Amino acid sequence: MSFGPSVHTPAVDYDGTVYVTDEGGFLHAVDRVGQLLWSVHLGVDLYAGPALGLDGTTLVTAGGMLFAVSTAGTVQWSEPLPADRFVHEPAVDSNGVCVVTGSGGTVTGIMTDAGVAGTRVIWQVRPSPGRLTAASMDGHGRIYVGDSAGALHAIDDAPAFQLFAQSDMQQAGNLDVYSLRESYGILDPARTVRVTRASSADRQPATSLDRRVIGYVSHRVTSDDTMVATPRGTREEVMTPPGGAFSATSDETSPAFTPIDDLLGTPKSPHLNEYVAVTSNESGLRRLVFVDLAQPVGSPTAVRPFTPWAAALGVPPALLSQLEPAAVEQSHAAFSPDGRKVAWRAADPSSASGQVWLLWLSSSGWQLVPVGPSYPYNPENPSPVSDEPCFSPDSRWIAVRQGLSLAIYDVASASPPVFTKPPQTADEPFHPSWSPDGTEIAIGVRRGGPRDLHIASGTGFATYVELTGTGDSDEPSYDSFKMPPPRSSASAPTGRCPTRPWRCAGAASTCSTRRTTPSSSPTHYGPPRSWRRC
Amino acid sequence: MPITITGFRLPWAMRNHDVNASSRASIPGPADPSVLPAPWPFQAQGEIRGAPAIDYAGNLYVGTTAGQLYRVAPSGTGEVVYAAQAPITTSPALVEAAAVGEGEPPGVGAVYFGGDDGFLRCVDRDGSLLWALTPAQGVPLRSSPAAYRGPGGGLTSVYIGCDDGRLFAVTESSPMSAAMQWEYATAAPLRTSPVLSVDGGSVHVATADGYLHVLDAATGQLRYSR
Repeated sequence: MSFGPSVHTPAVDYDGTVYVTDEGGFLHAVDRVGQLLWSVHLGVDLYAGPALGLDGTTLVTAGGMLFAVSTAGTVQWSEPLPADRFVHEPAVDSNGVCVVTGSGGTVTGIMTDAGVAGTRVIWQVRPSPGRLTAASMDGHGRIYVGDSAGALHAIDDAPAFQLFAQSDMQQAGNLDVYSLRESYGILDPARTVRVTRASSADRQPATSLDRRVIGYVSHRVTSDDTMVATPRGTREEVMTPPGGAFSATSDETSPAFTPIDDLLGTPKSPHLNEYVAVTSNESGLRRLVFVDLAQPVGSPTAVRPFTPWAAALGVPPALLSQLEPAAVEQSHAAFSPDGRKVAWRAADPSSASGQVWLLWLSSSGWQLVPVGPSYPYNPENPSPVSDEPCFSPDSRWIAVRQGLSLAIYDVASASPPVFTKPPQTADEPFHPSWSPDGTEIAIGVRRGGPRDLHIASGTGFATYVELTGTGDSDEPSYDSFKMPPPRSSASAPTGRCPTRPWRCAGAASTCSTRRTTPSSSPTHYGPPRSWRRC
Repeated sequence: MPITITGFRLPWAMRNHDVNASSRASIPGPADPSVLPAPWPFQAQGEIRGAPAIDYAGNLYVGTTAGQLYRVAPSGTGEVVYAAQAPITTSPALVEAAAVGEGEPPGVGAVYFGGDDGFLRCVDRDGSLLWALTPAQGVPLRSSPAAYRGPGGGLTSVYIGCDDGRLFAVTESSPMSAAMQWEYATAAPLRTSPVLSVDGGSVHVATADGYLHVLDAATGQLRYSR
């Protein structure tokens, strides 16, 4: 028995199931030993093979529609496509956005993930009046198509920073995670997207270095839990569900991802796996725990307390014994992009003092050092969230709130820190996040009541620009995204060297951190691939 | 559905992304894109019919009906790296070079592409010819090749269909040489692309007369046809 006329290029899933289409308009599934599992008729004008979507769906264009077919062979949904003829397999990104190209020159993005209301077509461009190839996608998520006139087209977002933050800007009194786009303190309101819509408060967004997932905290049922989702807020998953390592009433906050090699998608040394670090009160104290993202959610083996996690990294016993002193609470881990440093806040309720600590794999081995002076800590405050450290993209600097100022420390030297503070002395900077190119720091600034996002840049990061004036926007987290072009030299910030000429020990040149970008590149492009260090 | 964390592999190694033709990228695409202005588009001679293959550094490898293989940088500049003198109507396939250190992009070890002159060619990242084979000289190869290199590196096997209906498996004995390993004849011109199982153990090929043939990748022995 054969299939219908002209079978197209098949796709093979991980379990060996083969999906094939034919020009009779059918999609067939065949198991690994050749047994037909099912066939489904999708319509006429079926000219291309399938693509494998998220969640096991198969995506096929037929009759001017895009079909999503489940693993059981039922059509889950179909979406009308713009008028064109589709003869190539679609491409699918990690968010589930399907890119179809037409013989009439159209390129269309269709959201295939669950939970979409209304049209699934989210964008369309027409690079050419001619016949297009299928789409290819590079390691930055840029789309390329060729055409029948020999032109190779690039399709991409306009360069800008992408910033996740918590805000109630569209529903007062209910924090949600928003995605904002900005260039050096100039917000693009049309590109501000509400990522989460739950009636509970969603806050403290964090982004993974590879842009594939975001994390945030939400109080959905009985406790604060850490969620992980795609950057569009779809495929949301609770990483700290009750059962296993966490009880129904345990609170988890302050997620942070261990760094990933943004070229290879693998954990950076010395991390063995990709983790999301959260602060959990499950043990009776708020302590850092590490959730292994490669393990099944809810599995007790997926969760490691700080000390055994650090032991697996090779931290010597003399330092391990100092990581979790009795009765000391911890909150918020910050990981350096180079993978070799982790900073966190520790607070001792008995002495009402807090301290930022740095665990650092230096060239001479592991070190455990305090960052800056200790600070008053109010044990009555159940969430001491005001002193979160963050690293610069070159992993050399730590920015952390210190009183009314933001203090910027050089972790490689004992130099005094640089202090910067918002223009109104009563304002306090919270939750710094350093931009991927190192030129600006996003912070929440409290002006009496609610907080709003500000961008600190320029010499010593002393120039503050208000980014949101909508009230209660805080906890910024940069996504690497497509970075904007550098500013002209007349206004170029020198914030990446945050003080008077900083010189590195043994180096003759002024310290700078620069992204390595091909000199012929007309704009900055994609996430930082590598950083030169002094 | 859990969010799975896996390594990236080559961003777009061949037609339909990978040997199992998932067409699925490892990273998010643009959210609200536009067609980039000058220096884009890059203008090549002839028609582009096969989607570009893309390496870690963002270089695009694309063939044209004018018989040229281009390498185009993400900056929009490009060059002809190999002139085949016969139309290239399909996508090239890439394999990465040997592993490098953390944070360093693996380069392209080899680029495989078929031409209308019947030659399957292998060139290095700069277009220097490493080897060329023709299963049937003059009979066009209009099926995009699938190139498979097992875990841990090793030698590459390339699978490609021919307009005379035969599917060919070519295995490298060294980076500079390769030999035909087996062939399998079908009844209609093969212009679809061979697709492998994820483990590289079986080859799937669909034909214009409506059949799906599944073969052992190592021996070419038919596992089933329907």
